[in-house]
Amino acid sequence: MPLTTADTLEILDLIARYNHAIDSDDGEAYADTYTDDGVFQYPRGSARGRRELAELAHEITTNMPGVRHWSSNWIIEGEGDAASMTCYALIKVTDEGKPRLVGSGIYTDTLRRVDGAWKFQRRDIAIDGWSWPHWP
Amino acid sequence: MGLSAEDKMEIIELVGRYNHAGDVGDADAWADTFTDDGVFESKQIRYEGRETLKQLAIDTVNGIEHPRHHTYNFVIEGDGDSANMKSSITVMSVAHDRGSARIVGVGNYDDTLIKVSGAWKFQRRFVRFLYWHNPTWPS
Repeated sequence: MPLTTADTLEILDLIARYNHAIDSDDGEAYADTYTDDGVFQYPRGSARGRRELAELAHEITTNMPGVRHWSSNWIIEGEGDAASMTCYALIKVTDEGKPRLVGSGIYTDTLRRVDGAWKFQRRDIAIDGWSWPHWP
Repeated sequence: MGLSAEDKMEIIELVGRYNHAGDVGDADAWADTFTDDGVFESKQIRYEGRETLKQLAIDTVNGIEHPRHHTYNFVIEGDGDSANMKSSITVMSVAHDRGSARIVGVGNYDDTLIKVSGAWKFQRRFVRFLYWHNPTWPS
């Protein structure tokens, strides 16, 4: 059965919770947006499973003051309890009181419904522009 | 009858496909988001019909270094098979060699959409830029 509108809206909510968690140094809430064996793959490495994902969220918040993740242009497809998504990412920091746009990229995601809740099984981010000195 | 949640979600995903296609210069997929007689216009320009729109897609991707269109603040209203949408647009340009992303345009869209054979399409997009700074295009 194809995804319903309710599924699509739940997946958009998941992205919002993901961005809120990573931007507020809440590693546990960040890890909660993934399946237990979830993977985040970025250009210079990856984090797999709850502990590594929570540590990564903390490392990002620590090194990027006032970080804000913004996503848009969601294209979501799926069937039953499995979905795939592609969307844009913009990443801002507030550096000495000034907002700066530091990153642009595209996510390619695999999602799965576990016990009734949509989760990321894998997120891959392809960065097409990055201008902040720190990259985890 | 107002629009259903399904209709609104399909329209939001249409915007996603429009931006993904436009930003990689996939002129056919971009033109597919319009009706056959679709129109893209501003106060200065007007492009009408599939072949003309495809040319605009090519000119945009050639004219803006590595464009990234982000659209948000959707307000969608409609009835049955027709809809109007307002949204905000920020156009980024990403310079691969310098690794930086900058804003080249900020504005808003006023769109008219219709459902054709079960699929929502843009019939007309009217764009108004409050800010535009892209040295190379359009002159």
